[in-house]
Parts: sequence; C-alpha cells; structure tokens
Amino acid sequence: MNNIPFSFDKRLDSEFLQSMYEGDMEHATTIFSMFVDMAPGFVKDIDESFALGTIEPVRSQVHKLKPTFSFVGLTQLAKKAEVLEERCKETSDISDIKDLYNELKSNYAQSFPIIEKELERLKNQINECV
Amino acid sequence: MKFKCVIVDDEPMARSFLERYCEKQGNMEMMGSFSDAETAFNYLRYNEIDILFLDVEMPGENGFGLLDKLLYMPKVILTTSKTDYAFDAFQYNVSDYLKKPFSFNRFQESINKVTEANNKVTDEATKEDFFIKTEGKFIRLNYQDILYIESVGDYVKYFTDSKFYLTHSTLKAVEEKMKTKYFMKVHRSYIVNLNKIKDIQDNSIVINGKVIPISKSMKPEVMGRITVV
Repeated sequence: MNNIPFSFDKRLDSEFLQSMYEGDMEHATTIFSMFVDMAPGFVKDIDESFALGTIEPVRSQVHKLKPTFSFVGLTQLAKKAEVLEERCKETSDISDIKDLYNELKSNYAQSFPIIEKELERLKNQINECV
Repeated sequence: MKFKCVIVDDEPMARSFLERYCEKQGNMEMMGSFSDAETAFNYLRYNEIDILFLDVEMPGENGFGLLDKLLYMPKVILTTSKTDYAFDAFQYNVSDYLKKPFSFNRFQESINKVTEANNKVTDEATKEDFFIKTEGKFIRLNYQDILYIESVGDYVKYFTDSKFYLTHSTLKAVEEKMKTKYFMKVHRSYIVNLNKIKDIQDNSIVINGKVIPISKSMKPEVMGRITVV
C-alpha cells in the first residue's frame, strides 16, 4: 500500500480528504469509483420516495447518502443533507422539505462531474506511479 | 495478538473504509463484513469475535436489535453518522462511538481504547475469583463455585452448592464480566457454568437438581460448547 502524492480539487474539502486517506490513493480511487457508481442510484431512490410523498423513506435514504458525500470531500453537501434529514423528522408534510431537497439535488448535480473528473485524475495518477 | 473483528453497516463505502482501516491497523483479523443485522447475527451466533463495528440505522433490524440478540458481548464500536444514540450507547455499554466519517487517526484512538480495556479484562480473567456486593458488603466468589446465575427483575442471584447471593445488577452486565470459557447465557434469565451441567434434555439443562430452560436459538451453541463423544 504505497502512498501516492495527490492534490485534490480545490472545490472539494481537500484538507478533510487528506485526513481520511492519508496518501492512500488506491483507496481514494476505490471510494470515488463507488460514489460515481452508486450515488445516482441513491438519488433516484430518494426522488421516487419524494414523488410518493412519504417523509420517512426520504429521511432514511438521505441518512444513507449523507456520509457518502463526505467520503468524496463534498462536506458542505453532507451538512445540507444533515439539515434535510433533521427537517424530515420535524414534519410529515413533504412540501415542507421540497426547497431543501431541490437545493441538495441541484448542488449534487453540480458536484457530480467534479467527482467524475477527480476519479479520472486519481486513476491516471496511480497508473503513472505503477 | 490479533483481534477478530466484524463490520455491520448497510453502506458499502463505510464498510470499505473500515475494512481498509482494519487492514492498515495490522492487528485486526477481519472475520466478516455484513450489510445487515440479520446476516451478521447468523454469523455471530456461532462465532465469537473480539470487536464489532456496528452501524445503528440499517434497513430491517437496527444495530441495537442485533446486540439484544447476541448471547455474548464483544467490544462494540458504534459507527454512525448521527450523535443521537449516545444514551443507547451508554445503556449497551459500547466501547466507543465513531461518528462517520472518521479519520484513520480517530479509528486508531478507538482501537487503542478497546484493546487497552481488553488487556484489563484479560488480566481479570486470569483470576479465579471476583467480588460481588450483597447485603451491604463485598463477598468474594470463586468462579468455579458458581453453578448458575439467575436474573430476577433488577437483581441477579448467584447460586452455589450451598446458597445463593442476591445482588443489584443485570444479567447483561454480569455476562460481560464472567469468563466466557466457563459461563454461557443459555436463556434471557440464566447464565450457567458449563462445567456444572449434569444433563441436557430437550430444551433444558439440569444443574444441581435445578432445571434451567435453554432458549431455542441457543440450543445449537450450547451443544457446540459441550463435548459429546
């Protein structure tokens, strides 16, 4: 498990990412790859629950998604997910969380290409070091 | 010494982090990584481990539900993205509480805490006796003098050949302190000294004339821990 020097994109919480991975870029690649594979499915599940209008499945799925944002350095998004999760506990009316959810989705949609690009950079960096 | 550990978390990235951290730690032996409590229970009911990394909120049964079903208590490190479970964590006597996401440094702190505590328990386990508080004083009991322990409301009774001692405690708390080599919880109300079993019939054990029920779920483990020629 060799440590590989790597500077994360400034739009991500690079200090946090360094503390999580400590130069273990193979693992960073694994996690970023898992995020790219799985996050769209998670968001689709939340969309479907949201469309059904029941709060608890939305809360539960946001709870699951929340730490995955942090794992790829989207710590601000994780905080927004936490706010949304808390709001879900306070209301049974789906319209009360609509704005928060749309904001989260919009931020996620903007951030996803950054993660995809970062994954490519990680893969390239590892290939260069092999 | 390697610590046998198991991960239970429905979130694959969280499991991946823990698996990697355990690998980096070096003294951990990964016995299993499960995405739900039910599958984990099927493993843990037949396999004793040292450290359980446990998420709380999972589809199906939650982490505390799994702990309720376990008949021995490994060192438990809760791994959750919420801090709402502090009271439950205290109630279940968990060793540490890691809020996701956590760094490798924080993971190491947690492991050090658990392994230091484990060393103390190992020291205790080499002793042949222990004290209980009963009737306003501390009484020394030898492990091998105890036949079985029965839970009675907020109290437990330690039965020896000649008498019993009543002390304010729970069976769960007692179970953690007893040497697992000799003692086993066979029912929600009973821990028995395996060396004192006279016979086993259907779903009961007889010790010193006392018939003690065995939980249906525990029967295979009981049979697994006695020597049948």
